[in-house]
Amino acid sequence: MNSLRLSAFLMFFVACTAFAQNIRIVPVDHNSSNDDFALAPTNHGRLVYFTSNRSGEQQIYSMERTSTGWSEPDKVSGKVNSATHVGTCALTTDGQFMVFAGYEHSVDGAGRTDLYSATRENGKFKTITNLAALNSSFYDSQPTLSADGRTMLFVSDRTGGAGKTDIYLSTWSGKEWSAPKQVTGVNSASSEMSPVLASDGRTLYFASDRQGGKGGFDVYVAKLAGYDATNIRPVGEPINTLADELFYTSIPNSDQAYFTRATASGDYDKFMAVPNPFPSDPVVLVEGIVRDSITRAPFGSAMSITDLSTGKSIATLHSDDETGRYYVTLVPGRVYSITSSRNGYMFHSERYEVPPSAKGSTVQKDIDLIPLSSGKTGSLLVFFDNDKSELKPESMPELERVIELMRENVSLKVRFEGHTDDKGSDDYNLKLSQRRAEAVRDYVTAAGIDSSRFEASGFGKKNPIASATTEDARAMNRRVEMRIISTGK
Amino acid sequence: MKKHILMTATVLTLVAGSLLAQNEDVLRPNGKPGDVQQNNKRSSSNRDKMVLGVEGGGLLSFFSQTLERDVQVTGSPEDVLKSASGWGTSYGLFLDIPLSSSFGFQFRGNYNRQSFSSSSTADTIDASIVGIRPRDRENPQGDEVVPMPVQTSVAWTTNSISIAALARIVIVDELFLTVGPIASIRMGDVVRHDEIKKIETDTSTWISIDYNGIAGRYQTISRDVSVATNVLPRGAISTSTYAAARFGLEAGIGYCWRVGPTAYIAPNVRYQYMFSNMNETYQSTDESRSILQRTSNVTYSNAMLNALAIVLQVGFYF
Repeated sequence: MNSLRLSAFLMFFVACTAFAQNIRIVPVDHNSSNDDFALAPTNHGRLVYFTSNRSGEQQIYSMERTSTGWSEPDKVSGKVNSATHVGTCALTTDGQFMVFAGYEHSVDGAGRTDLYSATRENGKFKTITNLAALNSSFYDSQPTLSADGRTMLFVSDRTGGAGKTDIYLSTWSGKEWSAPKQVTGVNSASSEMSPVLASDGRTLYFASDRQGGKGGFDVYVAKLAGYDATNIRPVGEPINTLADELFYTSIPNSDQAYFTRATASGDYDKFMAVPNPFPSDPVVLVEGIVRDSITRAPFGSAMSITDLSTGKSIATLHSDDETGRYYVTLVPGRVYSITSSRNGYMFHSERYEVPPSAKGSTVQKDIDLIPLSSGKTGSLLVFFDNDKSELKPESMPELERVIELMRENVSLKVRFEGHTDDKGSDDYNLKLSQRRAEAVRDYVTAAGIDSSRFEASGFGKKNPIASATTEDARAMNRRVEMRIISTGK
Repeated sequence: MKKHILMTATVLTLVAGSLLAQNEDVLRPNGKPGDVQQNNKRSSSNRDKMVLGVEGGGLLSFFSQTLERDVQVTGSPEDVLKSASGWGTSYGLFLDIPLSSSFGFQFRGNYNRQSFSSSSTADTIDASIVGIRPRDRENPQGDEVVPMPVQTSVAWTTNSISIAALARIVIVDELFLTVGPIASIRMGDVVRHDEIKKIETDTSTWISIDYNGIAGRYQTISRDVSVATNVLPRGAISTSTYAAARFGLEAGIGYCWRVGPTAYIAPNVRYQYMFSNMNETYQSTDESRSILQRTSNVTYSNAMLNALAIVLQVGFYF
């Protein structure tokens, strides 16, 4: 009788608290009578992956958000699910790179549950790789990726931890994952589980069954800087209850969060909390389609994002092979270059300034790649000081791409065409544009590529691409373009 | 009976350990509480692939048999036949067929060369010192009989082919146990080298007969013999041929180190306990102390040859 009263009181208390914060907890569609957990959104929340043992073993499923709700879950096809248990996956924003955990996977592992990666090719996840640099002979599972795919956190019960399972962090150098280190501040003698790094790269959600919680595993939120987590707080009711709560995931630029909770019937289900009481910082979501500039056919292409203020490549991604769609998350207040390339096409580079005011917005930016055979021109992202013809250091990545293109297409001949804005005399601008075109040619020739494959011409201010006389228009007109003269085929 | 109980308990423990090792999943490092899963669809870490491999290593042999006497004699050279040990070699091929990621069968064939020996420097035989006592009717030569210390050595060498059909059970990670029946088939003769050597250098006593029954004054006598018999040069009233095949049970433990996508090395330690005796019971009369003590009838039985194998396996997935 006492337990009935206690239960009623607890339910009343939880309901009151929920009402007070006006947070609604609703189950996400397509929960089964078995475990459904670790919901991982990608493609700016339009596609989610989750883990379910509805078929008897833990496997990864996906479902898409449509105008009428969530589509029926599909088991991820291919070799990803070829293991006794597979799940707790995380994806890069573009949805092209997945990390997941596998227990007794058909791809050889290092021990017990291991971390694996897979790359999406032609609509299927392939190239299953055991992340040997991160795995131990112990339990390594529940990975999460930063939006740029360069930071991974995961859970391990390897020796040397604070106790039971702990959260570890590794970073991607561009070639390999660093040796994982414990995240300081979050690990305790209890179990820490289900880290999820939000799209802002700073907000870390995790679960712990440490003392002082509501019961079982509770969700905590922290701020992550490097390997240090600070400002750790429980997310509180009504998300945390007597039951287990894990895998708390904030949807970027949204008031929604997903999480997993143990239900009264003993299985785990996926839920949504609205509004999210601890949202991550707003970001800028950029998305678009990469396609042939002539046929408009979408295709997959390698893409990279460079922070022009530091010159560092901050993300590499891939547009979908079938839909051409790409998704990337950017931090406001910075200037980026977005580059896309594909065999048989001139690469495309574009300067993209994300103003602070763009915070929380979604930007559509389609990219048209020019076929090498078309003889058309494409702008090069090279930079000169005003009234100068010396290449600025931030031009070098673009020029390296030109060199790479010429090496990959040994019969290709191109002409660099210099253009200026409307300020100054025709004669002066003609000479300045010629010098700028020659500066590009000379840099590329110095890399050992036959100079007969290059021409350099200046056009002064005759061919503006923006007719206005604003500073932005003038900046667009000060450019060097690359024209295909001959493909040699 | 005790053997069977012990074996049953061992197998049950291994199977239980194997089942408990199956609980982990991607969410729960220690498995779901109270849930022992029956994972029939195992597929992972190359553990679902068949393995063909080679192995080689050392074989530490342990020989023992029971010597029962009708009367006790102390310090007899025959006692050296009670036990022996020694290192040999073993090389083989194996085929591993997994039924799941944590359970499979391993079939193995080995060529073994076993050597084991025993030696004692505390033995004694009765020997005469000629002409030191007054001659009389009962002692016409005037001999004095004294205990003479000797060193007795026996060393067996035998070659065999062994065939084992083993259950392989993964306990945790790459640590596995094997258990199953083993048969050992003798290849050629078992050769035993016997040697009795007088320890003291004085010339007043000697070994008075050799292994061919020829009387003389010997410091050392030796022979190679291919049947089971006594070690003294006379007194055998029966011999026993060595068993052509023996059967037993092998249990071992190993650890698998992956050395590439298609290969691993696995150090193994395993004990081979043979239920079959090495030879049948035989008898002899021990006359080593017949004058100063007495003649003893000896029965040799329960000749056991077991072994501890320490080998390195190299397996290739296919």
